[in-house]
Formats: sequence, C-alpha cells, structure tokens
Amino acid sequence: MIPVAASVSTYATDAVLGLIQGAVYGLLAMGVVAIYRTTRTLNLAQGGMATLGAFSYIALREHNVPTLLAVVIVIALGAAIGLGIGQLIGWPLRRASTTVKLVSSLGVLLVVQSLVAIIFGNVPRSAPALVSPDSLSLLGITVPRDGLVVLGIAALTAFALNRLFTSTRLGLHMRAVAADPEVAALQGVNVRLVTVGSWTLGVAIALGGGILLGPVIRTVAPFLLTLIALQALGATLVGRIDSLAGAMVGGLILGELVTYAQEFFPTTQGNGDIAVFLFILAVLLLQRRGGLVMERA
Amino acid sequence: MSTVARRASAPLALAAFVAAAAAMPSVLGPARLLSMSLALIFAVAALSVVVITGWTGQTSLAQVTFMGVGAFTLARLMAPRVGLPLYLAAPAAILAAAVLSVVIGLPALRLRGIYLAVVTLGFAQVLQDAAFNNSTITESQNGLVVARPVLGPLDLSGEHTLYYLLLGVLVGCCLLVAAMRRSSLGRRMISLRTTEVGASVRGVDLVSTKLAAFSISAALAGLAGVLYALEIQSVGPAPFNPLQSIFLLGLVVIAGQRSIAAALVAGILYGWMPPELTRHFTDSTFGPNATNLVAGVGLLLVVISREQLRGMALRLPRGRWPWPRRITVAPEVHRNVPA
Repeated sequence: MIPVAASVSTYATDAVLGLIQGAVYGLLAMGVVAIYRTTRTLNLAQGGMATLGAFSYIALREHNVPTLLAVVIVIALGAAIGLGIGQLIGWPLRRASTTVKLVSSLGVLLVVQSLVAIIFGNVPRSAPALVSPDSLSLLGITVPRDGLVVLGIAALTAFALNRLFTSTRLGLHMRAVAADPEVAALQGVNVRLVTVGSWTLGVAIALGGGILLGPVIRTVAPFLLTLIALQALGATLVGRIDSLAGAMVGGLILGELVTYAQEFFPTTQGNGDIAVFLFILAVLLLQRRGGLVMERA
Repeated sequence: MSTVARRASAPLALAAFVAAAAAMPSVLGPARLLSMSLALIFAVAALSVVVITGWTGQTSLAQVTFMGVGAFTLARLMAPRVGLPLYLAAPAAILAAAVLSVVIGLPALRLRGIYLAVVTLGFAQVLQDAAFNNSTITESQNGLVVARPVLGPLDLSGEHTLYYLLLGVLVGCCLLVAAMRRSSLGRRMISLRTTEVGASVRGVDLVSTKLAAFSISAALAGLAGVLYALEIQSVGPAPFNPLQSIFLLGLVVIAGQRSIAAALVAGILYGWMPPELTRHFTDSTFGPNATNLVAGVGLLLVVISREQLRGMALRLPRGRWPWPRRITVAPEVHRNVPA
C-alpha cells in the first residue's frame, strides 16, 4: 500500500491521517470518560457500540436514507440505548463495587456483539463516503476529503462536550456527582438524572463515533469491536480515565502511533495493536503508584 | 446447617461431581463425550477465573489467551522439530503462561483498580493478531497438530483414558486451589478483595499478593490449554480469541464466581452450551452467536439481581412484614470508589 521509498511527504501524509484516526479514538475515549466520571463504570462495550453505530449507518445508507437523516437516526438510537442501559443497569448498580460495574459492562459487550453479528452477519462491509470519496492534495500531502470532515466534526464535538461540562447546569451537576455523589444529592442534584444522562451521552457518542470510523477504516468488520475498544480505553488512561482533555490527547497520540507503526513495520502482523499495547504499558509504568488519597475529578 | 454438615458439604459435592463425571463415558455418545471433556478442561480454566476474579477481585480478560499460550507452546515443543516428551513440554507450557502473566501484570497490578482489565484486553488482542494468527510463529494456517503420546502406563490416544486423565487433573487442581484458599496467600487474597486499604493496613503486601494470584491463575489457564491441545489434537487461533475470555468470565460470574463449585458449573456451561445451542438453532448466524447473547443477558441478570437482593436485605426489616414499607433513609447515590 505504502511505497518502500518513503519520503517526507509520505510521513507528512501519515501525520495527517494519524490525526484523523486519532480524533475518532479520542472522541470514543471521551465517551468512556463521560460515563466513567459520574458512574465509575469503565465501559468496555464502547468499541462494540461503535461497531453497532458503523453498521447501522451503513445499513441505513444502503437503503438510500439521506446522509444527514441517517446520522441523526444512528445518534438517536445511541441515545435510546444509553438511556436504557442507564435505567436498567447503571442505576440499579450504582452502589456496586467498581469490579461489579466493570463486569456488567462486559455483559453489555457480549449482548451488543452477538446482536451485531446476528443482525448484520459476520461479513465485513465497506463504508460509504461521508461527503465525497475524492481526495485533496496540498503541498504533496494527499488527504481524503472525508478525513477532513471527520476531523472537523470530532473537533466540534470535543469542544461542545467541554462546554457542556464546564458551563451548563447539567455539566455542573455531572461534575458534582463525579466529585461526591452523596454530597451532590444533598445539595439537590438529581443523581439519577445525571447517571442516566451520562450513559445516554456516552453511548450516543459511541454510536456517532462509529459513523466517523467508517470513512477512516473503510471496511467495517464485526471483530473490529474489541480492537477499537482497546484504542478508546488506552486513550483514556492518559488522563487517568477522569479527564476529557486527556482522553482526546491520548486518542491523538494513539492515532499517530498506529499510523507510523503501520508505516515503519508494514510486514509485522498486528503492528497497530502492538503499538497500542506498548503505549498502554508505558502509560501505566509512568503513572505514580496510587496512594491512599482519594482522587476526585 | 451444623458446622459438621457445612464442613462436609464441599467434599461431598466434589465427590458427587466426580462420580457423575466418571460415569459419563459409559452413558454418552462420542459427540457428547467431547462436550463433557471440554467441560472438564474449561472447568480448569474457570478455576483460574475464580482465583483471580472471584477471590482476588481483579478482572483479567486474558484467561483464554493464557490457555492459547499453553496450547501453542505445547504444540511447538512436541512437534517433531523439537520433539520434547509431554512430561517436559507440559510444565514448560504452563511456565510460559505464568511468566507472561508476570510480565504484563506488573505494570497494571502495582496500581490500584481496574487497569488489569485494560492491559489484559490489550494482551489478548496482541497475542491473537501477532502470534496466534501469525503463520510464521504458529507454522500453519489450519493449526498445529498435536499427537497424543503414551504416558507411562497410560495410552492417551484412547478417548476414555484421556477423559479420565482430564478428570484426574481437574480434581487435583480443585484440591490444590482449595488448599491455597485456606493458606495464608488465600486469606491475603480475600482481604485484598474486601478492601485494598484495609489489607495494606493489616500488613498485606498488595503487589506481591496480586502478582502471585495472577500468575497462579495464568498457570492454571496454561494447564487448561495443554489439556485442550491434547484433547483436540490440533491447535488453531479461533478458540482463543479475546471474546472467549469475556465469555468465560461471564459464565463464572453467572455460576457464582467465589467457589470451586462455580468453576465446575461454568466449565459445564462452556463445554455444553455452544454445541447444544448450535444443534438447536441450525441458522448459521444465530446459532453460533446465541451463546454470547445468552451469556451476556444471564450475566446482567445475575449481577443486577444480586445487587437488588443486597439492597432488599438492608431494607426489609424496616417495614411491617410481609409488606415492607419503602423508606428512603438517605438519598440513593453511588458508592463512588476511585480507580
């Protein structure tokens, strides 16, 4: 795919492509953080949900639903699923230990994965173009037009999420619950609303991220799910799963790492995964050992 | 239940299981006997999940991957190029799984919380893509062939001989793990699961205890992989994909996760459910995927109902039996535990 005699322009192109990929990982990671901050549930099903989003979008487009309507439907579907999970799983498990919550997300993953496989089959599908299939060339850098659209949408969403957490009442309540649910409840915060709201937000981001994933990866396969979950989870580790900005930064780093790993070691099988795994190990090794002091967002 | 009855119940249950399992070869046909053999093998793997998740409270998503490490190492070492006998190759395969678990466990286990889940998920993914699916490492696309050897007086090529060997190994593992649970290490594991802060205050070294539990559980999983290779006689990448570990963990949680009996039940579910469901639902996409659906839904029901029951136990005495009044004493909130 990539010529052996790589030049500066190839590396520059890689940097941009890595940025696009990383933005999507960062977005999915922000969804993980949004759920984790308020509910302490590490959503391992994020990748599975992104796959569901990608597949539903492809199916809708195959039935000639206009792009914008398809996007709205998929995100609404994500919000509905998130609402359901929040009500049926997130809220009943609010007092459970972190391990139990983690295991519950594995249950969600098993259900989502099998449903995707049952509904859409085990065959990989190629994703339709988001806006247009052609590429842009500038200063020797060739970038697909869709990639730039993805980058723009990811940046806008990240900005909106940041605004939501910093300057809306709901965001304030979310941060209050993240800091201390008991005290937040005593101050009049509706903890149930915040819990369910976080799930709705996080899962909607996951399915929406799945739509953006299509043009970046081109072919979407059902086994994609654990793969992308790993990138999203690895990205969150940069901010100790508690920081939205950290998640986006981690996603961008991972996007670059994966792209350059594929560039420099084209013959190594699983090159991207190895890069992600080494990144996760490195981040954990660099972290100071958790003391007895409780960390709060 | 009196103390005597309680003390005797576990050995009696194990004896009953062994008696029932020992009768299976004369009852079941070859296809169902294979399911039963797999059940015994996955019971060993489920035992490894009980040790690390049920008792130590750490979530590992790579137990079936460690099985794969055991199976592939055994297959490579027993292949004609190396030609080690089983009694050398099997310990080497188990050791390989244990050593790998220490290498990947150390960065995550020195931190508190859920990081082991992320690292083991990554490990499962990397091994699947870079090793199990890699034909230069595993030598063939369709899987490595493992020949069943003659081990002393036992000729393992006979289905029934191998079946009883599997049963014997499983019983040995159960006794070993039960002894470990009663030892100082077992008590440290439980105390760590209950509260890490409390355990460290009581002088439990968190990192070494977690590492010991994780490597023991990886060794058990490696042993399960060795048995799997002997049973199936061909080792390919498909049975060890990352989702299988999650499936296994789900079954162990459904079965109760904190006892040896739970491991036996989970093993039986793992060995029997997929073939029976595929036999029942002949549809090519629904059949194979139904197992994950059942496991996922079952897992969620078990986890949520257990949590609800705990809530009820706290609330019931407050009302007038049999209609407990709903009294909200404190606002219902999360137990917000930091990572």
